[in-house]
Amino acid sequence: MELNRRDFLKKFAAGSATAIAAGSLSTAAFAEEAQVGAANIEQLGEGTDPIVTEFAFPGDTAAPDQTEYEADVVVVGCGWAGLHAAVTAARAGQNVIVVDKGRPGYSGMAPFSQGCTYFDAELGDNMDANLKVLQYTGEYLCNIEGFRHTLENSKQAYEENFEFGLTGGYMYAPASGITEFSQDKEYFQANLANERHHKWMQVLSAEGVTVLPHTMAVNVLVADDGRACGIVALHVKSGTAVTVAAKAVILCAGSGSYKPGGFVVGGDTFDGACMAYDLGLTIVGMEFDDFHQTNSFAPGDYYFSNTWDYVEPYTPYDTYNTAPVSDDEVAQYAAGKHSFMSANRVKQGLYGLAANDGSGVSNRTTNGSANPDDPRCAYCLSWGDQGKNRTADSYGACPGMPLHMASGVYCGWDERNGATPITGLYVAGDGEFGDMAEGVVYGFVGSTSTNCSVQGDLAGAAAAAYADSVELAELPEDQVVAATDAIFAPRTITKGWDPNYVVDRLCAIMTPPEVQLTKNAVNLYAALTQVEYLRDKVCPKMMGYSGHDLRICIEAQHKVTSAEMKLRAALAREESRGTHYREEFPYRDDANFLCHIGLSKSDDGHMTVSRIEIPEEWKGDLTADYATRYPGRFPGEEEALGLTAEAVEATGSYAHKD
Amino acid sequence: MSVARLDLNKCVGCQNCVNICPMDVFYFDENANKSVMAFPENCQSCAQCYLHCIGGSLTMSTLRASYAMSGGRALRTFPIEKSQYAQETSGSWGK
Ligand SMILES: Cc1cc2nc3c(=O)[nH]c(=O)nc-3n(C[C@H](O)[C@H](O)[C@H](O)COP(=O)(O)OP(=O)(O)OC[C@H]3O[C@@H](n4cnc5c(N)ncnc54)[C@H](O)[C@@H]3O)c2cc1C
Ligand code: SF4
Ligand code: SF4
Repeated sequence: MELNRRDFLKKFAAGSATAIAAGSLSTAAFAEEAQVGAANIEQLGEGTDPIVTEFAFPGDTAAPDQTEYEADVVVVGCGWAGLHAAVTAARAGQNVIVVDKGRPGYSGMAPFSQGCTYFDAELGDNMDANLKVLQYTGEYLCNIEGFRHTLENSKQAYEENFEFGLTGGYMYAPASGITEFSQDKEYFQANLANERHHKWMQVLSAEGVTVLPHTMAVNVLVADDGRACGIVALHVKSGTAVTVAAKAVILCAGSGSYKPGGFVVGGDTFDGACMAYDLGLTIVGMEFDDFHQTNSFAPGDYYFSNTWDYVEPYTPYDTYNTAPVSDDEVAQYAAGKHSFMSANRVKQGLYGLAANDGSGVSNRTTNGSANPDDPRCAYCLSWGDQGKNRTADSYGACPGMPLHMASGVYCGWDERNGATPITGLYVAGDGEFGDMAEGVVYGFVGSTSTNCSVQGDLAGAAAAAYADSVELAELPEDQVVAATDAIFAPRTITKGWDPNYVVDRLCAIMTPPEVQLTKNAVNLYAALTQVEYLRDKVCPKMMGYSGHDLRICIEAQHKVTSAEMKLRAALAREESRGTHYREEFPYRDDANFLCHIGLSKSDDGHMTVSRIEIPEEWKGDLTADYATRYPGRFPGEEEALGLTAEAVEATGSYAHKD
Repeated sequence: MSVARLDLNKCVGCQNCVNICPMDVFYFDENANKSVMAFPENCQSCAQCYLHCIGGSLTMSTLRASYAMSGGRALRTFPIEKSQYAQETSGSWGK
């Protein structure tokens, strides 16, 4: 007989509950029983069903004592951006509440970033050269002034992270690149002094910030006068609605990713962007939102085997992917893609930024510096022998992440503080603030955690100043009721779908290479049709019982919305650029697409696509010849444009490996 | 490809996994003083629970806890009137 997991647990639960009730669970019996369950799953081998010895799901926890809060500033999500937003606002004298659907420090992407570098002119960093590289690698769609501003503020943000104790490195590996610890847990224990994750909560509490963990923001409420006035949230563990009335709301809920293995990026399921979209705000950068390869040595895979199935065949690391991809054109393209996704490749020898001489921000933390004591090469987690050999790593990772400092809420290109068009609503961090600071590639490796911290600092300061100038508005009762009804709707359905089904199906629709990597209209429309079906026919019938189920229902809904955004934006951009490759348009089309694509919700609830112009300064030298403007080639590009072999040879191609 | 139980006896009830897990996989059985791996199908394999497990009760497995769902399996039926959640009505938010 085949039991699904739920039945299985229920069946088991019935047994153990009876045993406990009857007081008959002797130690010996218990030990025996547990031993069966303990039969190490690894030992059972592949293809064998694990024996799960567990007590049953005990049900939702008791509701929290308090479910209605008031604050000056409420921060939604607390990774790097949220931490800085909360602390900055608190230091400005505001009463700050943080809600996070996980636990700050352990949730989202923040637990996994390793290097955290910053810009320091005093140490020789050259701003103009860096920006030039960014413009070039960001293929003329990156917010030059935005990124300048971010870099200018990055040292301060880094110093705050240092002050918070978040930059300590794990010990170096010996020259072999492998620690002497055979056990990952031993290695972790030996480095506990530098363990940073728990410090998030310590910092917040020291600053007097109230933290509501396991509390998922679901809606931002807007008062009659048009300003943001608080949030409705779900306390996941207990399945209880919670409200926070606040003068200012800062969304720092992170992003998401469509990388196959990283489809679920921690708690990041585009919640912030979806909440903003629901309010009518415009989301940009979705067609470029991509995965950042993780691999067997970076966080992102606890084990090779985890990511292997999904990810490794599309990563550039020969040792792992030679066999599965050697004949596969798609994978070859993907294999070279990482060289184009980061500014690393073009900086060398160009614009005076030599590799690892400390003058370039890009990739400093990945390749290390000539000077191991360079303070700009701080490592928050494990590191190798002077940056050369990786350690066995501090096992623990979430696979995948999005393009950084890119997609999110469009606030106007000149906006630096994350103030959205809705008064009192601010955005900061990855997937939230759509300022396109790094353009259309994964620009400066190892600087994102710092730069998200910068955005948090700026939004926190702006929100605090604004909160000082207004009174707390009352939460609109009708909106609270509507939001709460929506949260609990899955409990009112008697016949419907498990939300995990939506997530699984969406993963199957969105992650195949023909949708994610080598896009074309046929495949994109095919995917869109299926996503629309999920949106219209399946999502409204998602069922959930526990608070956990309700969370998954909301996340599934958000993933469907973001998938639609990604597909529509990809369809609209009929050219190839950065991380976006269209087979039928395998070239950059400066005449038509030096712009961004915006997505917003129309009054009738449909998703509309719009064109957002960009400043002339971003566009670079439009008189330069094509091959100079764009050194990288997409598959089919030279044929389509009739580029000479010399031009191709001189500039490399996407399949190039550095 | 997900968290797995190595030995339930070794669970000392510290609740680290319950507090840390970003995917809300763990709950806690107060009576038994043991954690409960309630939703392993949502595990993202980050291993944070494993690293912070004081008792050494958890392991990471190469097997995935969830199954690829077919439409048939995904169908849920739920007799609402019998539910502990049936009383949930709009307006009952907050306290
Ligand atoms: C594997 C990996 C390796 C990386 N390596 C590096 C590196 O070496 N250097 C570097 O600089 N950067 C690195 N990064 C990138 C860096 O981690 C991210 O840029 C950064 O964490 C983004 O910060 P954030 O605050 O915007 O979002 P996150 O850190 O993702 O935080 C978002 C928070 O919001 C919470 N949240 C989400 N939705 C809700 C909701 N609805 N309600 C309440 N809370 C919510 C989440 O639980 C989470 O705590 C890496 C990322 C990954 C995944
Ligand atoms: S591995 Fe990560 S996601 Fe999985 S149960 Fe442990 S803490 Fe949660
Ligand atoms: S972390 Fe380990 S010991 Fe602590 S409650 Fe969880 S399983 Fe038990």
